[in-house]
Amino acid sequence: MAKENIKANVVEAPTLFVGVGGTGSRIVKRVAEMCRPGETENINFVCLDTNVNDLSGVASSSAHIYHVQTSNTQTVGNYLAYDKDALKNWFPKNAVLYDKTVSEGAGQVRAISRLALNSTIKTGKIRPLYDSIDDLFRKTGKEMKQAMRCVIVSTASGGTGSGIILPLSMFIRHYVNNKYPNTSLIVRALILLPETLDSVIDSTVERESQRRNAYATIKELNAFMMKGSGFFDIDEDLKRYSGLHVDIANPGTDELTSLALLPCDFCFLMDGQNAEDSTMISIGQYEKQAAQSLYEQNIGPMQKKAFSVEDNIIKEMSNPGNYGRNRFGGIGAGMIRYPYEDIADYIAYDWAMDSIGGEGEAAKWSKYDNEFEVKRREAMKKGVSSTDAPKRSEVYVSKMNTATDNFSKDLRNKYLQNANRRVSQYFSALAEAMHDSLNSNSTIRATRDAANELSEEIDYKNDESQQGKAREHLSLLRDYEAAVRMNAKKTAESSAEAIIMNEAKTINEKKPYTLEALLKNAYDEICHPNAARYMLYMVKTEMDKRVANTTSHINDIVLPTLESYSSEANDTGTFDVKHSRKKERNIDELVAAEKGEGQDPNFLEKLGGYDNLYKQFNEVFPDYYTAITDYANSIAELEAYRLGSSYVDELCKMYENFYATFGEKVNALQRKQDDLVDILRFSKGDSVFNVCSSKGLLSELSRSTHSISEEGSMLDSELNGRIFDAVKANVAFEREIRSADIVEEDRRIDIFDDILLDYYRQSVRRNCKAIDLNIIEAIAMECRLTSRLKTREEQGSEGGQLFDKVTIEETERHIREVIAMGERLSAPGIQRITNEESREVKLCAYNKGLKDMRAYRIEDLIPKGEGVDTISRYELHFFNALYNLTPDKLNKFASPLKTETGAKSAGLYHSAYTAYSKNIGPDSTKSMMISTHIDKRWDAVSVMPELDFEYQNARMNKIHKAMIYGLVHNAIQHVNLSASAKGKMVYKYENSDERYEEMVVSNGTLCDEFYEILDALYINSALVEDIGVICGKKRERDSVRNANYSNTAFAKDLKEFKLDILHDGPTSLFEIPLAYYNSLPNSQRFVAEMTTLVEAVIDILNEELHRWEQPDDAKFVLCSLLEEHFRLLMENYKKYPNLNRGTPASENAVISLVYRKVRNVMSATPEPDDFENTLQELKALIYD
Amino acid sequence: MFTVVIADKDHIDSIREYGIFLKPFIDREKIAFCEWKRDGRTLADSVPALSETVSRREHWRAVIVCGDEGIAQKNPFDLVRCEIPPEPDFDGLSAEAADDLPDDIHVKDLEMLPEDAAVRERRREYFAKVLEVKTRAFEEAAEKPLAHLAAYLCESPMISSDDVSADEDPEYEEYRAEALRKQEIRRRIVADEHVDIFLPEEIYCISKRTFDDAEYDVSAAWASSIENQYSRFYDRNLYFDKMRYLVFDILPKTHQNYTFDYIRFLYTLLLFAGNETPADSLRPNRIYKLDCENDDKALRRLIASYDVKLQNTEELLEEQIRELKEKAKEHITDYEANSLFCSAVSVPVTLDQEFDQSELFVDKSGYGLSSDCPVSEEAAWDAGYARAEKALYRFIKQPRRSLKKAVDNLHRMNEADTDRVKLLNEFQIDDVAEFTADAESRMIATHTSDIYDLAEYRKRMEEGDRAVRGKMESRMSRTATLAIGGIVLAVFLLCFLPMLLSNRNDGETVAVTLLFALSAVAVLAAVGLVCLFFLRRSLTRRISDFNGIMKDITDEVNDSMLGFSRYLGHACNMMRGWSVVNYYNEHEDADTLQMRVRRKHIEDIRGYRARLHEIFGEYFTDPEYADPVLAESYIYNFSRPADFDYSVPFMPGENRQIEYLRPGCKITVPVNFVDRVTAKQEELYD
Repeated sequence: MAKENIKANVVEAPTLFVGVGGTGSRIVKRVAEMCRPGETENINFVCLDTNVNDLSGVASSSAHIYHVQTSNTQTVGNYLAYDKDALKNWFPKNAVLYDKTVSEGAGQVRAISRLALNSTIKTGKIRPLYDSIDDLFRKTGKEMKQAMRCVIVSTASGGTGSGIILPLSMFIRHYVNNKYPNTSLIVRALILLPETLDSVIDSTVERESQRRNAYATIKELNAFMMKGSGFFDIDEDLKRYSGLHVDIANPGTDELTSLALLPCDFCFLMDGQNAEDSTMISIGQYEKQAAQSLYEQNIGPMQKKAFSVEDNIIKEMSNPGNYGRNRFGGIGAGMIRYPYEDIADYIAYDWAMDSIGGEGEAAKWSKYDNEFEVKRREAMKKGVSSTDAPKRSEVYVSKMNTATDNFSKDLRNKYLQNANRRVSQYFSALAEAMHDSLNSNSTIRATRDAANELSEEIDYKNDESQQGKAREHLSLLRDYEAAVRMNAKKTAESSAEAIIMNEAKTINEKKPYTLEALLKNAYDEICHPNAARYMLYMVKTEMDKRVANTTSHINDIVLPTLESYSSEANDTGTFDVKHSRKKERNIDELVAAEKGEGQDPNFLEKLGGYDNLYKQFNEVFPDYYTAITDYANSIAELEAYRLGSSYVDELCKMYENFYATFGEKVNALQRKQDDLVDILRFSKGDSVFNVCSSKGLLSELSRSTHSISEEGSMLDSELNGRIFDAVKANVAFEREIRSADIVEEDRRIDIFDDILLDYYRQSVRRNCKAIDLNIIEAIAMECRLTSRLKTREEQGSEGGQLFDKVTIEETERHIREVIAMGERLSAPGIQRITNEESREVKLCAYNKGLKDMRAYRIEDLIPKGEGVDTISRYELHFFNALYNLTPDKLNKFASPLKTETGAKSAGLYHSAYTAYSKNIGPDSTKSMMISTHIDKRWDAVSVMPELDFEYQNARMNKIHKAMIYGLVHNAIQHVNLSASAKGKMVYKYENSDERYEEMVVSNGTLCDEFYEILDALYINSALVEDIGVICGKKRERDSVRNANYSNTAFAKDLKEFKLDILHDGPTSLFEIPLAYYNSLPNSQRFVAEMTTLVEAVIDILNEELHRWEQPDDAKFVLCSLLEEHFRLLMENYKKYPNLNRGTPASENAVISLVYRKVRNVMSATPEPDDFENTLQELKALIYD
Repeated sequence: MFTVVIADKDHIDSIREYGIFLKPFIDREKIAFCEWKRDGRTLADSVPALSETVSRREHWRAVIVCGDEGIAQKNPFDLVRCEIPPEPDFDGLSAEAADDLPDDIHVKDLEMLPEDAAVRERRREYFAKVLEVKTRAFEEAAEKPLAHLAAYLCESPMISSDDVSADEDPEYEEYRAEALRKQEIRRRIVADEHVDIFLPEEIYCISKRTFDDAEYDVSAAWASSIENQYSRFYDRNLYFDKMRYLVFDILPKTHQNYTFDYIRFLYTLLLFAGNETPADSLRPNRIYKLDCENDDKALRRLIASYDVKLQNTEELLEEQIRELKEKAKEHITDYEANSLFCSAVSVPVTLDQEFDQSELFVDKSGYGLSSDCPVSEEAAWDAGYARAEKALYRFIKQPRRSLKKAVDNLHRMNEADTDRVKLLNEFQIDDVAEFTADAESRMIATHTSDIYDLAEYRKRMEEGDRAVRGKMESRMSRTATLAIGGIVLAVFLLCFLPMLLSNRNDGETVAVTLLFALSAVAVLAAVGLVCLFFLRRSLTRRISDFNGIMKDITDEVNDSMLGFSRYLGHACNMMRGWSVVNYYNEHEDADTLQMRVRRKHIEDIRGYRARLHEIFGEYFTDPEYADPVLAESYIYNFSRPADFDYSVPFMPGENRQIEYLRPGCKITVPVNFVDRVTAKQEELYD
């Protein structure tokens, strides 16, 4: 199959991915690494973390990621020493935190992360973030088509990420708004909630801490979304929060930048359970899912559709009750994939096993080596000396010759026919080639040519021109000998190397003197590795033999012959011509005996047999010539044999090495298949489903693609050739590095993995068309395979033919099921809101090539899908997004709810947060409870709104009630600052342990004004709780006494209740709102708060009555009690100027409010009807 | 990333010791081991090999295997005590401070003073106390080896020493003072040492732990904690935020399965060192429990296969021994044994043939009838004596040399040809021993004389000399002889004078007388001559006596040389005999040797099996469970007395993907019995 050409996605909008904290950074790193080349043209990635170790992983990524370490080795205490604003205003100072080194992480304390970010900004180390933004705006000449997008990823549970996601998102918006005013910015955040980390965190205490952090993070984002959307400025009830902001350091000046921007346009949450209520196993799976979702949402082919849906959500931002908070949502992505490459590999391993003989029969290949091992062990046991021990080559050859199994027979029949003859032919050809090779040396060639005429007899006697030239002829021969002696060895060496260590591909080599040719049978098929080894062992043995023979031939025959022609030779028998008295002892003397040119022999000499001289010349010169040629040829052969012997030995060794690991590797094939099955298997929690990937299906698929070649387990000739080439290459490399100390590049080839398996991998991809299916066809195939498996199981061991009975309808149903599963896998990472229609976007993308399918219409199967060219045809991508969520409606963030139909307990994150925060006091140094917010002031409900307004009201109500109870039970007392300092009055709190506590207001001063009591309670949840304890104690006593309302401590205290700042004498409970209102500065007179306070008064009376009286009585007693207190209020109002301050009751907002609330209660009470009159009377009290 | 495991020598040695189990886990390209000497004060002292190991490496990480100091604690890294005093209540305005306030102060003014000076002072005092306690802890921690090492390997956090903050929060000030104190201590640790290496990018501290308190876990589970309350051990122990902490729960050393657990620790350590730690999986300042879950089934199978493999090899060796025992043995006949090993060898001590012994004797010829005729006898004697004396000196050297030569010969001959000794049977070797003992006793019984007593010889020569000279002195000179002869003749003639005179006239008588006289003179002369000859003869006899002395000397020397010859002959026989006996005793025959070699291998294998059983006791199972391929016996040349590598038969090419530290993160492990490596955060709250 040709490699798929998948195009890169085009992202036109400049996009910045920001990972904060360890997990956030890892997710962004994953996204960066998922991007294909070309996709990141308009995308930048930046990671911020306090933990230096985590960041180093980001820095080492293959993708280009900007990174900012927002910490150094300073301690928190040292940071605080410089950051005055943090120290004074927002950092929850506590001895536990001071000595933390910030570079080791923020230690789950969110404020530390903000502190570190401040320092990073101040010192300019935030530069990479600026760079990553600026880089997106570089001039390219192209039109800036879309607004910039920013995607921030973090967890809400740890310290770093959750601590800076809010300020950082606003900071980025602030930077972009200021620097690129013409560009708008859409910020999306993906926040992983703590349950995604449950697998990692096993400490319950830590889990609780993370849940608190998550709640605090979302609460802050929620508040700033409202603030950023402007609701705090326009909504009367929320106006008190209009000052909400975050101060960020401003480099270069001492001033702070106050940020109150919209932190993110959309915030996607990922929790432990997704919209389908399914969970994942490990944080790694959540990270993968997050990265995949972000990729699909922002980069993948479905991004445009996904974003177009978001626009529709924006309209709903201002819907009543939303307050711009419905920017929360969830995303998820999934994939159905046909793992073609892996399946091809799986089948390739099967094919390889079939060819090799499979795991059990791998021994076939190694049986000859095993035989040797057996023999060697036997010899060892017998104590045979190493020289007599059996040699591998001998055992191998003999075993192959004698083995009677089919494999050996096949080898012999196919490759080793006439092996001996082929070897001898090879050697003849080699010898000839070596002889010829000497001609390549010009000196030898020239001298040989010159002496060539002497190779045969010359007619000296009759050819006068030849007479007298013996000296000259001898000199020619001597030159020839010298040339041979000097050059033959060197020439032969280089020629032998060229011939034997042939680098040509075996398949192409045909010269008969090459090993490659020797390894081919009569049909030009290259030997199976086992046969190749056989041939090589034969060659090696023959080479060794020939080395010995040739050496002895040279030493015993050739060299002595040549010696006899040397000038020092002393052999009268051979050279004496007997025509003179002198006895010629060597050829020189023989030659000297000839008369020179022009000097004819005299009569006597002729008579003495001068002609014998010529006869002698004809004997010795051709003989000498032959001896020289023989010497040259022998030297050439010897060099070839020597080199050949060592080279073939190395080839054999290399083969042996390959075979040594062979058995193990064949066994490993099975394991590789198992590994593949493991990799492809769908584990719970995965977001990618591979079709046709179970072991059974893969086996079935492999079975259906199975083809046995006619030679049984013989390999393909081409593969055999490749194996031999690899062996040669390895030997060549070993030779090359033999003397090297350092090998810079390891070019060794793993014959099994790189050659053998690679061959089958390619072969499968080339030949096995049946598995090259697109994803829909693959799903259909899965259906058929499953059915086949089932049938096979039913057949049991009977076997036989198998009939595929799957109908098209069944296949289509299966395809639809799998597609539905893909959709479910991409379920958004957050639970849907029950009882409310969710705004959900379900998208799917596939390769547009799928539209051309004949069997199936993809548009029918996936109607909402989109055909693109940026997705592989083996994959279906699903993306799912859930919008329009407000966190208060999410189960885990929800506050407890009591309705007529039942009670619902608080969400996991909510309860963790509230259980902790209720104990937080104003001074963080005095308690172990440290604010979970990045600004300690935000714990107060008066500073930051709750997620759920109902809950917020309930909390307000509780605080207001606490104030009223505190005043009624005299726990909040207006006393002298000190017993010794009379006249300096402050409000102090006498706690349930009867110890005085100072009441501190939000600006850090003592509480001395009446209205400040409420402020002090807002920031001191612990105190509010303690008032509850006091009430509880009092009620316990009343309860023991079985008291009626009138006998309760509350009723008694209420009778004695008075506010010393107002007047003596009986005081109405409604005077508390009045006193509060009167003491308030005008700027802080919020109607909502007054209403809550008045309601709190009524609630208290109502609750107390209901607690102690019969419910039917209680409502009537309540009405009369309200009437009583209202009358008392009016009486006192009229009586005391510090109450009315000269304003008629009808103009007093509080009295009007009280009246309305009392009226509401009375009106809501059924019978008796005379409340109408009472109300008239009460009203009259106001207007009279 | 390249990983350096910094550990005690014990651990590194153990990795080597348990190499057969750990081999597949060690990738020398990726992991290096450096010994950590805990008492070292500098980096060069404490981890001497580190700078060489990581020299020029820019990216590397350290895995520090901590000591056993805190092994029994829940948190083995928390090695110092630091009890922060409880924070007192600072609320309210002190009376003194209130008194100092002006009367007309407004609450608004007071708002600017959330705390008055005295309260702040009390807080300052409190935090000064905290700093003091913490500083003490820091000082203590600075002495701990891990903090010490970390000071070298980690980059200290940046602390500005200048007073950049206007914040007046005493707690914050305490932190700053504390940070500076820490910095100062760390600088003090690394004071004088310049470390020329790149600092590690990651540092993991791994500690073993034997703490197992279920009660702790229960109490911790019921206690409500928050993240911020996590143990601040890293602070008081002077650790760095870069460090990551892992504990590995191991059985106590006394437990019977400790060794296996320890090996499990080691291979977990090696797996950890050999693989990249996934990002985010280990957070700073948190303790994680590192664990390695084994696939017991696979491990049991491997162990069983290994054991059976060893057992099979053992059986193979036993079989070989049996074969060797049954093999027919070669032998030699008694005759051959006798002729080879019990034949006496002689070591001749002979004089050099070139030495002319005649020079030892003085020539008797040349002495005349008188002392100075034909030559002076004394001079001739002197010359002869001197020659003899010189010859004696030379002669005396001869036996010494001959003896030396003979001893050399002895050295050459004192070993029998041992090639066939192995073929002797025990009776034959008995004969040889007997022969040897006999030779030994003969050797002892052989006496040798002193051949070097030159003084004695000289004395004896001088005696001879004196006798000769005495004789010479008694001899007459020619003149004296002639004169005496003449006189005697004259006197003798004179005695005849009367007769002559009386018979002068009688011619006949005179003639007879004359004849008589002359005959008498002749007789006298003859007598005189005879006397002279006798006299000369006694001289020559003296000389002959002298020569006799010299002969005695040469005979003595020759005798003693013969004695030496005999002595050396016996010695040689004895030595040859012992060499045979010893060789026989020391060198068993080839088969026995082979049996012994194989027994040695069996012992080795039994050692391996014993260790295997000791370490993996609890994993032993039915041998039937063994994998038949893995359990095939080792193929070695067991005839060699080498120490073979009986390594664990890990499946060749075994590469499994297992979960590593967190779900979804996979690594490849070379063995099939490791299922998972996990790291779980420990719940440790202060």
